[in-house]
Amino acid sequence: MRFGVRMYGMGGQGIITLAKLVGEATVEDGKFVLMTEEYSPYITGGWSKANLVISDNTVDYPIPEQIDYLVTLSQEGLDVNVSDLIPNTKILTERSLVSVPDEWKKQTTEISAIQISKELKNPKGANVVMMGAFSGLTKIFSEESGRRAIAKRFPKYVDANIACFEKGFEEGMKFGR
Amino acid sequence: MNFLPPGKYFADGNFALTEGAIHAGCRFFAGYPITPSSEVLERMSIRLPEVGGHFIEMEDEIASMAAIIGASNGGSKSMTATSGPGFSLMQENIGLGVITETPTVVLDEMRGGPSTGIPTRVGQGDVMQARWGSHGDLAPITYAPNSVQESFDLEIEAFNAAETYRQPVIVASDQVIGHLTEILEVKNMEDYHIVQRETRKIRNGNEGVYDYSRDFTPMFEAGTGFRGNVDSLTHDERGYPSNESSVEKEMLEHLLNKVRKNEDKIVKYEEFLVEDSKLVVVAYGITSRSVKQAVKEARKEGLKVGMFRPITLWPFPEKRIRQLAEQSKEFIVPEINYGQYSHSVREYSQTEIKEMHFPPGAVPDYRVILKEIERCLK
Repeated sequence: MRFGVRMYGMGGQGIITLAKLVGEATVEDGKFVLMTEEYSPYITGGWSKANLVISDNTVDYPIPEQIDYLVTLSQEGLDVNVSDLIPNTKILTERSLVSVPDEWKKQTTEISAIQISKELKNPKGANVVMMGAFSGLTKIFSEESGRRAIAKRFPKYVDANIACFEKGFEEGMKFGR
Repeated sequence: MNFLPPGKYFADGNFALTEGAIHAGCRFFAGYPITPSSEVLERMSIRLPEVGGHFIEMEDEIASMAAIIGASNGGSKSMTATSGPGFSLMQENIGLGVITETPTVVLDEMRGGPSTGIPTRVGQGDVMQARWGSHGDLAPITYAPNSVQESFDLEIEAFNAAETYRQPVIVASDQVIGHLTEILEVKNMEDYHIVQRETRKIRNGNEGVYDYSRDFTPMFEAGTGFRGNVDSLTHDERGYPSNESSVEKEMLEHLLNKVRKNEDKIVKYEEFLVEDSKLVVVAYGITSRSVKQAVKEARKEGLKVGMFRPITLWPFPEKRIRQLAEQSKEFIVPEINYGQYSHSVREYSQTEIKEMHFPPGAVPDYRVILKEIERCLK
């Protein structure tokens, strides 16, 4: 098994951190993960993107050969990646920032990650809500591994981020297999 | 935290390079931030004070290189980190490190050029600069990691080589490897071989700063009583400048031979399925990972192809390339530039070379390399 995940958004939304959290949690579950990142030469507001290759075996070639999952927190993330998608690509979007054309609607899950993170009084945690939704939707990594990855990365803010993760997980589950 | 505890980490190349350096004993860092190596500088600013070291953000890369040469003469294992434009600025002082026999490690994370080029994306255009960038004759040592694990391990090896051969050693990584996150396994500290610096503190009689009859003379430690001269001019064994061709000959041959005579010990490479190969693909850094995938796919088609990956770009793995040239009719050299390392492969192998030029900005697509392999062998 080898599949590819692309995460996309604007600088400042925590896309790279989201990808690292997903990677860390998936590694916890014993899989091989390789993540590459790219960003535009601006700090805030430019595009930011991460690719993950997840496999049962070691990975040489670091670029996903197909995008099985696309997670985007910006409209640009859908627009520029459409040409890389396959008919089965599952798409996860931030509801308030991405309008999804009808043709992609049936495979798209829209999550109000920004709103949820604000309600939980952790407005920086929208990316962690997305992480939870990704886990709930895809089951690529377990809820427990997700919690461990968060505790490792944010030792000072574990509870606030776990709350975001769990709410996102719940939302993702609603649409999951 | 003192040293990164043993264990398994999901970490990026820049993290591994920094922690590898601290494992190796690096206690001084001077640098100027530049994408894609800035995370090394950032992490060093946090980690060095934790281990009793010193960190300085300098005004530019010229000063950064000068500062680490000074710190190294003062007794600290020292390094800097940069990318293409900064590496260009450092060239003069890299020569200063060579002529004064000062151990330092220079990390250059290659991105697209020339000039500021594509700052946030990959390139491999500095490999000849690592060889010939500084003026005069030198015998550089350059490592090119192709994974997060190697970023850690080779950083330690680079420090060991710098201390052993007493000269600046270059680690030529690239944007993708620096920002690649994958599994890093760190062993117990005692499982790593670390070359500790021996220094001379007191001068015995007429003892020189250098001793050209030996490959390796311990450094003297500035400020401890050994009053010596460290000069960028051509100097004799006492360290005093000279304008004589005979002195230049003696000094230069010492500088070159301490590396040349030990090439067998320094040169490192990885081979993948070359035993029976009729075609060898030579690749380093991130490109080698595309090549490995291409070779695996080609083997499924029954094509006799293998990969040769120089881990030390310099000294050039001359002996092994010559042997492979006797067995293989052709070499392919893909690089993220418009033909650099391919020139050396052609020179040493004296055989047919197919250059593959990939523009900076993306990892070479393994399918393109596979097509070239098929074209050569079918």
